[in-house]
Amino acid sequence: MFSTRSGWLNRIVLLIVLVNAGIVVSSRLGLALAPPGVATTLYGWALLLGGFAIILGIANAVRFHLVRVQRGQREWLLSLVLLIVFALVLGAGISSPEGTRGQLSEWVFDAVLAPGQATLFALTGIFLVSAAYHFLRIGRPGGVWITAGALLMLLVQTPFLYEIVPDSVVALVDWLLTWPVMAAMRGVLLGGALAVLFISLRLIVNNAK
Amino acid sequence: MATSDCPHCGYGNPVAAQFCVQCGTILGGQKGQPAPSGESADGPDAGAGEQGADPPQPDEEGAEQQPPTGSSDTDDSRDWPHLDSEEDESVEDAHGEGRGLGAPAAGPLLRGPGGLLEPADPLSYITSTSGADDRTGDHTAGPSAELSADEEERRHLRRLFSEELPTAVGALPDMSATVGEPLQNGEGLQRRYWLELILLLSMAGALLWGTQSPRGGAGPHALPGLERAHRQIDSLQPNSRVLVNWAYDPATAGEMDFVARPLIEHLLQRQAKLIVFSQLPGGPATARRVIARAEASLQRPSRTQITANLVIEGGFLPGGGASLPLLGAAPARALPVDPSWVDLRERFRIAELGDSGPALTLVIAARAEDVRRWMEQVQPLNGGTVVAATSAVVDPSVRPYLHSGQLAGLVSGWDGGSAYVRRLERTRSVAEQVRSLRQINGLNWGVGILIAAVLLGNLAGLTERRRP
Repeated sequence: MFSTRSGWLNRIVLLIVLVNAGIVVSSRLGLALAPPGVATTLYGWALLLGGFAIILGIANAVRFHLVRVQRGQREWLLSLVLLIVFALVLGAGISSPEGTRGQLSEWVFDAVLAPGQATLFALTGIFLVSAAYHFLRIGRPGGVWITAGALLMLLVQTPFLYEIVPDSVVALVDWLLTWPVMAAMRGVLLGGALAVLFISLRLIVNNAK
Repeated sequence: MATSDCPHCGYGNPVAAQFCVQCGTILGGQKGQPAPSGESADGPDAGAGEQGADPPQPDEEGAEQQPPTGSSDTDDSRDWPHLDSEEDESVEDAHGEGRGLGAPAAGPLLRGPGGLLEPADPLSYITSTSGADDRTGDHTAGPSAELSADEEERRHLRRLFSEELPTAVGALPDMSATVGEPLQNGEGLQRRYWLELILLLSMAGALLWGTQSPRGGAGPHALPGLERAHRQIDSLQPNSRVLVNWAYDPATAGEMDFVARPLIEHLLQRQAKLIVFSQLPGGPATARRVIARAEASLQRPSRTQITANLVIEGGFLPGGGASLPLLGAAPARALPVDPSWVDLRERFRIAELGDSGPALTLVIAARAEDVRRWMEQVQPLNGGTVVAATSAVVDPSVRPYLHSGQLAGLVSGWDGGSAYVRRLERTRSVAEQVRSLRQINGLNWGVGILIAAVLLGNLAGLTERRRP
């Protein structure tokens, strides 16, 4: 039950979603419900929206941190650093005639961004070791299977154990990957696709719970 | 005139209003007049009794599953305005309970045009699910049931993700964690050990079969997609257009450079024209560096010449998965237009990609999602041949595409990259060998530490168990 105004607007939005979905689905199925150019145009709009979303996201982040600095909220100094770095990188990109291939932009990428990203990602190794220590234990429910599977995969895929592992163990891991793991992966793919389809439908018909 | 603020837009409406005058949000909870403070709709005594009661403990029946949305705390409604629901209103009415102003409850995601922009908080669905079960019970949403929303949400999350994980197959459930609750697994098949037995028998069979099979079968060492990937690239005619989706950035470059570089080298050897784009902001710059190194290892005259003749930088493509289909339907429209290389676009006639499609698409991805998106969003549109170069962890996830033939080749992990380099049959420079050796040593150490952590953890577990 809707009030008159919001109800109509809601229905118009729903109608637009359904028409777009119908055009895209019909083009995918090869049905001639709409000219092929229409679907292509919609895809192009999605690309444009993606670009605008990035700009909006950046603007929102800048505004958020500006407000934090203005009000002197907790850790406002970090926000200030972020804004300064943002302004520097943006200025370097815009001021250079070569754009993001300018010398300063390239330096920022090589000296700051690349090592920073690599370092952050490498930290996951610490979490991995910690999780392996705490959770890959045979005393936990199902722990025998998980620990055995993890050790088998490590044994087979590790360079220094590559040559010394018996062929029978390699065959065992191959069997595990080819049959149970592959079957599970296919099940996950199929189940995930069906779940997305049905959740989308439920959202479209305003029945999501 | 007494007014109440709309939980959605904050407009002051008459207390008896069914809908917000400003935005149309349903205010139906005010059919029954809001109970005065300390009084529930069941009467002053009931309300007083509940108020005097201790807050419900987690072990108490009913209190465990009581959703925060049932609370009449109006402050909560400010935090969760998009959770209003007419269904909850009717349920509460059926219980004879008026609810406070703006009392929140989980409901439809779409609530007016403004609702489309509001965040879909997973917590609201978690609480609404449990709350739906709870409504069968006869609990009142009075002040006595006050538990802060944060507290309640945390408890729901703990129960869902940590404390009451589904019992593993064959394992006995932890009785201490579910005191007073019925066993969810009952006496069904999940309590039997048949699944473990079948798996053990199969593994024993695989071990036996493995000892009798010839060496170099289709095992993990064999990398079945590698040979096919090599064949696909080797069969390219000079000047073939190859679309390269560069889906990794410096975070995963440690492994991915090993996989990507030999394939790029092979493509440059075959004089293929590469049109490189990325959906990651750091992707184009990463691609430039790897391509430059590949060119250097091929001892080409200069990178400029290679870039001018063989590589078109398509740059950054925003929009995520939603923008990918345009690459299948009209690649020339999807690739960013850079005035500085308009003439290159003319020269290589990217527009032709729309008619004939690329001769080959190479997806270089650290995550399975990127390969999957391409196979589902783009490949059905242009029907092109796709080869994937991925990290080792992606390999099992994308092998179904390889087995079904959708993926024409797959190279994964450091061993895949090393095997591909060997297939290229070129001598590697000393610097390359040193770099490779350093990488493999690092991998050895990493995996060695991981194995040691697992063994130490189990040792510690056994030691702890023996203590009184």
